[in-house]
Amino acid sequence: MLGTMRGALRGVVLASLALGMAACTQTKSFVHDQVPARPDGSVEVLLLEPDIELSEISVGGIAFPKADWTERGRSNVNAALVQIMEQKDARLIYYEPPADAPPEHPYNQILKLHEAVGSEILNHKYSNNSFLTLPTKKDKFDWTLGPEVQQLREVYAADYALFVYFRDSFATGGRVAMMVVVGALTGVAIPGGFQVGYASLVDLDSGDILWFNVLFSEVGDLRDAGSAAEATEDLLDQLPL
Amino acid sequence: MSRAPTSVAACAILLIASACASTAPVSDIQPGQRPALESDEAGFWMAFEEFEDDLRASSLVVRDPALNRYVTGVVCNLAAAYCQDIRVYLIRHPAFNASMGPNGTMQVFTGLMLRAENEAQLAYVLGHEMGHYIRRHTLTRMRDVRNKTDAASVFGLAGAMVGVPMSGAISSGIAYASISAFGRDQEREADAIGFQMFRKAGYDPTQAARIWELLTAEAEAGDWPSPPPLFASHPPTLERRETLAGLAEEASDAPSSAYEERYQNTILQFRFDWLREDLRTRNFSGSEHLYDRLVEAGHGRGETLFFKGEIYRLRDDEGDDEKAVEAYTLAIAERDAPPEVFRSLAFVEWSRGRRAEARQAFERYLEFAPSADDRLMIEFHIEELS
Amino acid sequence: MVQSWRRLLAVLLVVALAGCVAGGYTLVEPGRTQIDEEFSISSNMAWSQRAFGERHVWTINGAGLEAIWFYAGIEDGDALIAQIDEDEDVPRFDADMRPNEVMELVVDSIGLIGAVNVEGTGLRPAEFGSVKGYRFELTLQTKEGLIKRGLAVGTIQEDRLQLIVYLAADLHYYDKYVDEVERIFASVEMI
Repeated sequence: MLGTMRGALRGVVLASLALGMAACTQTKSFVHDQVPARPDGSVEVLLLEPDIELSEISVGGIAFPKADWTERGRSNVNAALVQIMEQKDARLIYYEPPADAPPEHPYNQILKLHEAVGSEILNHKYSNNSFLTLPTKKDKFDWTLGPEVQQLREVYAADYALFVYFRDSFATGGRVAMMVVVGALTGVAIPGGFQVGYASLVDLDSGDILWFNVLFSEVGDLRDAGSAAEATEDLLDQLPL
Repeated sequence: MSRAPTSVAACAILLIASACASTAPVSDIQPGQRPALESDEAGFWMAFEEFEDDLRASSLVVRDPALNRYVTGVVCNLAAAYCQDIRVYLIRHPAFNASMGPNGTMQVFTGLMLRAENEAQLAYVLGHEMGHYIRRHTLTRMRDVRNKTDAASVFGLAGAMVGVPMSGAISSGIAYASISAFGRDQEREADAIGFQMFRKAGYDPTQAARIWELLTAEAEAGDWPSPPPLFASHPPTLERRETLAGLAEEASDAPSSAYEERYQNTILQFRFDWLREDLRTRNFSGSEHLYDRLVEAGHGRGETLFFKGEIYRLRDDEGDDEKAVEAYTLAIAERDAPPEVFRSLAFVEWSRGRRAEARQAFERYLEFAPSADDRLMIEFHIEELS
Repeated sequence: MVQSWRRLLAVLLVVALAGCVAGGYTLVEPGRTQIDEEFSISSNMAWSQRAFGERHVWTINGAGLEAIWFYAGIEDGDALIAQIDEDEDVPRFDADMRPNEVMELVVDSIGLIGAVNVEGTGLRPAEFGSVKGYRFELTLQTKEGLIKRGLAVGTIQEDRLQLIVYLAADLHYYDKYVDEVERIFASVEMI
């Protein structure tokens, strides 16, 4: 019952791993074909429940979620977001999900539509499976959630909505030893921990996805405030604000 | 490279690996207890909390407040001390199943609710699931997964040394937990704890073995070779039934009740949807067995007989038209037959070439459901049949 | 949950296999397009098109957002969806089916590929191109909870089912393309 979006993202990550393309930190972003001019002065950005999880890779190569690391990672990323937004003269507003709301709730529908749109973007713009590429989206980036998102704009008095997703994992001592030994013996690199994230910025007037970015890194560490700030900056690189 | 240093390396890894997850027995979770933030258990809780967030906003959940209050009430009746720690989610799914997450997320499938004859049978299954929670079985299982995969990859490393390539892919521990089941010993433990709570709450002790009897009979009647999910990992049914029957005998002196009426009255308004979902599984023989049992029990006979007719209408084997008409006719004789029974009857009569009967049945359908959303289509058919 | 995981894996496998056999999306320019040797339709917009045997899907932004499914010349015994579990049969088309049974076939097939609360409503007679047919509406939710709505038109001619199903996210997408879809429905010409 994992979200379709997360499933699509995992596909992208596995594809990157298979190509061995990520030795350091890589990002790939898209900007909407028509980004309206940013309003003058300060803008308000609604942060939609950042989805951040840190885990530990066991010797057997299985990711086990770690609650304490996750808590630290979430707070580091949040601090970094606040700072980056300040530099852009933007104020973060925190979304509060309606309590016990069924899926039919209009806010839930907006979030679920974003998830569906996000997985289409990952499939059609990030996958290296050419079967998934849509000719109607060739050389285009014009996905939208539609003007129905104005409900959020009115309630939160926000201009934009920002979605942030991070997964970060770290090899245990045993896994690291394993990587070293296997590498030395066979020349085959087996994966240790890595960091993957995506973010998207939605115009709360038109509903357009103004910008979308995916990050993949083998060096970041969200447990560390400095490294988390760097990763968050990379993730928000080229944010049109 | 000589052999000695590599085996030293392998041993070193093995040592680290075996130190990764504790194999010590865990104590029961106490009411209100949460794992320490640094622990591996807190990680599993966190992952299930995220899963629970998804579940909460999912379409699979049946949200009727009264039904939810009722099932939660049974949980609290079984173990008042843990009442606050367990959150019940009723899942719209036709399988007989229930499951328990480490953080107190309990999923109860509507297929289980449809099949239980009374509150005692439901309570026995809920007690069993609570047994998994109290004994912290997910934690033990996850540690077991970790130790086994660690060991396997060290053996894989040994293979790599002699030139066998190893797969280094990373997979998700939570995904492992979802596909690997509790072990047999854990199931026995959960049964023992569940039965104790169930007995203490005053439920008829014979009902625990009874629900397994019902399920065995249905599975044997079914079209598919695979057992229902709850069977898959559990101790052999016969053993379990005998154990439970034995426990029931020891406990037979105290007063007890099965609470059949209370249970059936609560689920009555939901049975139509649940039966419809069951029918969609197209396990026609299994459904036929189940519906016959439900008709005999006597609750919601009209709608059950309607669905029994639907089995034959959809299956459409030799002689099924006649069986369908028979079931629909019996349904119509009951007070609670849905208007759709006339529409279905009309189609079957039509396919048997009995056009006048078909037309009459269509007319009765529109009589009982004047605002039916397919009225235009039915009027068109009535014209075709004139 | 064992069952659903097994099913998910099976679905992924089917998708992967279908991907190999079927080839990728191609562009359909506005204008008249033939769907196999069965019927032709005309569209005002450009669509991305992909074929899986006698099934064709058209989309612009991605099939999870809006999709038109064309089922051209489905024969007795054929299914609308791939069988994902060898133990469980899928609903199959029968040339004797009445309109309500075709609607049940669509509803049950969609329910089996992971949608919930699938309902078919408003079944009524309608033209399928120049021949008699019927149409109905659909509502459903994905497992994740996204509400979708749909429209379908169909007919059975010479024991073969011709069916067009439009399904889109209720929020924004359904309305965005429903006029185009109605135009496509109205433009059907049997071959």
